[in-house]
Amino acid sequence: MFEILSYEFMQRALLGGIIISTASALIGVFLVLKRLSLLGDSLAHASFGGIALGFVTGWNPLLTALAFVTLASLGIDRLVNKLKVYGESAIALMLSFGMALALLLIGIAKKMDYNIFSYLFGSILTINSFDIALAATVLALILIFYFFNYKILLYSAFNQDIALVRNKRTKLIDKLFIMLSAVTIVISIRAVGILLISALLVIPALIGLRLSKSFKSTIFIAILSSICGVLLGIFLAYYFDLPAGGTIVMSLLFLFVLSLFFGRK
Amino acid sequence: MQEPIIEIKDLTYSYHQEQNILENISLSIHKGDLVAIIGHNGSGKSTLVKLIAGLLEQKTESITLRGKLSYIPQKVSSDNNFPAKVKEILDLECCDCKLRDEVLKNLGIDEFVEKQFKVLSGGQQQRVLIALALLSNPDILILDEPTVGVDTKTQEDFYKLLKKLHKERELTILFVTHDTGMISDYFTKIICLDNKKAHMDEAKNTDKVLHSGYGEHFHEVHHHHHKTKESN
Repeated sequence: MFEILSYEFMQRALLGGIIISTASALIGVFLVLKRLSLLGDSLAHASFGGIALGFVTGWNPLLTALAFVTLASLGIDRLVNKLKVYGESAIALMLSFGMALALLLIGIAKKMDYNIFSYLFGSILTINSFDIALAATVLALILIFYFFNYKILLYSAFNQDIALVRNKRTKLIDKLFIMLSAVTIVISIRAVGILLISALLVIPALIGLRLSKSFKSTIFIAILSSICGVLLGIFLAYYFDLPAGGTIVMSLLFLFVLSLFFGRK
Repeated sequence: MQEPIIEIKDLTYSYHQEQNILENISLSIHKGDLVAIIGHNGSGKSTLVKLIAGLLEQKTESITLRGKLSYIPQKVSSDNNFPAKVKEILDLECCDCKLRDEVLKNLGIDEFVEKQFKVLSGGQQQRVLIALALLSNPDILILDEPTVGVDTKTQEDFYKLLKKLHKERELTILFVTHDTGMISDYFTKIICLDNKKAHMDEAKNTDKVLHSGYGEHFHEVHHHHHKTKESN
């Protein structure tokens, strides 16, 4: 069975899968605790606008998506905090904006490339070295950011008002966290695609919350289940010749259902 | 006389260009004051303490703080999923072991530090929040209706605890509450918010302040006030 590990594309897929699943689990736990799961979904959809921009201009779609999603996250922050639009409405607005922009750009360019759909549903088996380097950079950024700001992040997830009173940097750290979430979403597009990114962010966090007895173990279990789900998904996709986006999400859901039986509640 | 630890001069506040909720409020709170803040729903109690805590942006610099402040919000969190252990939450505040041991013992938390915060009772969660606030070694402690939804016995224990902490640490405490029955027993000052204005007085004059503050609603409040006292 291990002959598949000798294929270079498979090695890249597994390495990319491990990096992406670790990054998305680290971000997902805080997104879920801060009740921002939908923000992840919205930014993922908004990224389609950025990807279309890349296709039309000929630039690397992941890089244009990265820029676009970072701006979208700042846009949502401004809508909510300065213009006092309801959080979920701002999220819905940005989601539609990104998708509509993508449709327009594709229409204008009259360029309906098959490849653009690989971004909608993911294609981790075709991940290249550049994508892996990008994902590894994002993971490194997350780890450095958490190392220095872990307490403020946890404080803010526990109770934002207490955190704001106790530390003046809380607002800045919250903003940086959202920007990091945005870039994590972009690197995750390769694994499961825009339409299924929420699964990668939310399901491992839910498994962690269900099985853990402390915050640290929540993060640990989330990362572990995320990696297991993604690797299992990649193997299933290879052996049964199925789309990897679908097998990865189904594997994660399978682990979640298992956690329902082993969880304490 | 010592400079006030919280000085408010001519404070006016409104949410998004709506009508003012607080108007030309000036107050001086001194070190060691144990202040109850009362008023009807919507009278601006929470707004006032949020302005003092810096959670709302002032349009003009009307508030001067001369000490470190800790804030305990109205609601801990409606979230019953938060996975952290009590220990992990208390670790959010760096402090020396001596202070930590003392606070944990004082509040009776040592027996459940290894438990998850979400499995604690309302009263226990409250004590964890107080401990968290005390570990930051504050001069001023602001509590926004922390006893809502807690049974009478727990409430009473809570007031006693506050009084003890106030005495031991010379803490200045601002306490937003609807429970007017216990003010003269536990507090030294009272601030009553009504019709955008604030009236401040000694806690022993609670009846007088209630009268001036609540205007025509006085009888209703007064009745409640005495009823709570009798039941105590």
